[in-house]
Amino acid sequence: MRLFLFIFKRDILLAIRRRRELANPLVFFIMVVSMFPLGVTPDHAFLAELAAGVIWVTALLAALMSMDNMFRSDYDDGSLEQLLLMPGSKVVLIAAKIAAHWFSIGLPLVIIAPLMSFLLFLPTQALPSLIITLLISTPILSLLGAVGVALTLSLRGGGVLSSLLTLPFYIPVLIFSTMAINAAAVNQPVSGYYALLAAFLIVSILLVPFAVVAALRVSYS
Amino acid sequence: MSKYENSNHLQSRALQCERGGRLLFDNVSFELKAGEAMLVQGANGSGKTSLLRILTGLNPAIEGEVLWNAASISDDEHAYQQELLFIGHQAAIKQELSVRENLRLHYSLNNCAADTMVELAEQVGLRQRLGVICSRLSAGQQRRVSLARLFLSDQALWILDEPLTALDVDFIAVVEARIQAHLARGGMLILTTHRSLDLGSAKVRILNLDNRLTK
Amino acid sequence: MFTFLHKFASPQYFYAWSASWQKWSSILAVLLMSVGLYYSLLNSPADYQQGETVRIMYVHVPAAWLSMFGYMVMASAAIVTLIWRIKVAEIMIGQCAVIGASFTALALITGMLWGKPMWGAYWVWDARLTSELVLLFLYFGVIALSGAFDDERAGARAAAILTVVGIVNIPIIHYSVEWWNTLHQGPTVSKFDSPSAHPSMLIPLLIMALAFKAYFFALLFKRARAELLLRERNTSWVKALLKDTE
Repeated sequence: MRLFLFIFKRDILLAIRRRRELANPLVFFIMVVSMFPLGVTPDHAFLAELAAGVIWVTALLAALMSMDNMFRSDYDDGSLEQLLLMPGSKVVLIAAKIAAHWFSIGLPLVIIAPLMSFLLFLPTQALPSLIITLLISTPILSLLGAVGVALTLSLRGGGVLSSLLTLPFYIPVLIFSTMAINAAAVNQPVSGYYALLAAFLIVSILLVPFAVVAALRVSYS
Repeated sequence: MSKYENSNHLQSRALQCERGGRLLFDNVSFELKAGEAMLVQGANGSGKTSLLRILTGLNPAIEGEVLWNAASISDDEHAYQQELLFIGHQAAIKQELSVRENLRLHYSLNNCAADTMVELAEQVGLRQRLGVICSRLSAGQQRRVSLARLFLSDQALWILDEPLTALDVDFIAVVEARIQAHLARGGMLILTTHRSLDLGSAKVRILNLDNRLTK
Repeated sequence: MFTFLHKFASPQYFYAWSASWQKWSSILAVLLMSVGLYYSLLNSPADYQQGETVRIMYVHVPAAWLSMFGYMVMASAAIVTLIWRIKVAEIMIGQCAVIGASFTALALITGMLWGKPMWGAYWVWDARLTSELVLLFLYFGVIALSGAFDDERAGARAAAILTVVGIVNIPIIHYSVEWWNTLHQGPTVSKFDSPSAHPSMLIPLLIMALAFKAYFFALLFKRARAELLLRERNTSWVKALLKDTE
């Protein structure tokens, strides 16, 4: 637990120092969402129908953009090897880094997504489900993204490749989340979707840190 | 905790390393006892850094194993890492953080009181710069921040990859003294360096990686 | 057991025993394929609903089955790679990915060809086609990753980890896609499924499926052996082998 807090605090401190860089995915998120009415149609009803999908797909892309932050600079300046050489559980270390990443990227996404939903006329009754699905799912995005990033850490131009590896794994998140929001929009029950997303989150929390540790070992071979 | 025990020893058995399909070295075996230093030599590309990284456990060896006090380092990673200090090529300094914040990270989980931090900064000659963001420091000063780990360390085994790069003469003497004290206490050192370094009265082994290929 | 496994899977030993496996699986593939094609294309009834179009199924369904089967074989090789670091298994991963991706593409193409007369469009977001498409993405990921490393062994291990993560994820992806599909039931006219269980259609289908599996292994052994020679080109046993054949 002390190790977890140490790493978490360290990464949050670094995130605060790098806040400009961190803001980029969020600005990207806002910009891309506002491109849709321009590119498709400003029609109220049509956008409302599109809203859940657009917000979610854009959130996936914004999350992917930010994934490289998780390990890249630590890998490049040698800090990551110092962290890996610290006595203590590597799984805890990785979990802390992922948690810090979610805190600095996932959470802000959750906060600005409702604003985006106004731009796209998402029905108000669907707003809570948008926030809840984002809250449950953005940690999954950070977790799965960590695997892709860790696998491609030692490669030049690993960022693009890691996006390609990660995107297919995001499909269930995308499907369950948008289905939940669309169900909420027509006042259908949504708790089943939340349960599925939560189950996916738990499985990811339990398994992903091990996969990331294994992936980092490959990057250091 | 068994730091600086006289019975400490590090052993490698028939280490083999491959880079991009090319065999770098083969059959590297040595033993290092408490209070001894080992200088790893060899031409560029002979695998010095690779060897050091294998010895830390960061990189896997294709063949062979590394034993710390007769136990394979991969079996009891935790115990080995408590005894190990590794400083590599890269400074492992966060550019966005101040000197003080970086030094605090060196303490990792140990508590650090404000005055011991000042003392540490004094030792590496950065007391006046504690609040400066590291990206504003010179290369040599950044190296000093990195090497501050040596002055904190109570680990018995130091593995240093070119520690003297970018340092000025004065600070090299400081590092030299620190290393000698470490060895005199029964610490162990594995080192690559392009500059000569006075290791005092410690027993120094030389491991030359040139022409190590048996085939 | 472990030493036996290591010897059995050592590159040199594998190269020796896989030769006959490759031969026999090729022969089996040719035999089964000719029997299967005869029955499925000439000597089986046309579907009362789909007409002659149903014959595409005899290629499409085995290809789709094989695309999953290929991933399973790849995952087995991945697990062996991660646990025992066996070179032959490392090679298998990349080769499985290439062959599996090809069969996935074949399943997609035949699915589209079948879709044109049945649905009136080459592409419909049908559950099986969508799943195949996602599977193709996963295969692309493995191929891209294993080829991106300078060090082939590191590439193989990275691909192995990705494959294992994928095997946990595939059922979730599969069910999410299926579920998504039932909720968005589009203009699909008929269920896109294997021919009904009538023996006159089922038997040719099963023969074709077996023929595809045999062909898969024939390809896998052939490719793995070639890749093995390439990677081991500097070792004494390959040099000796080449000298013998000169």
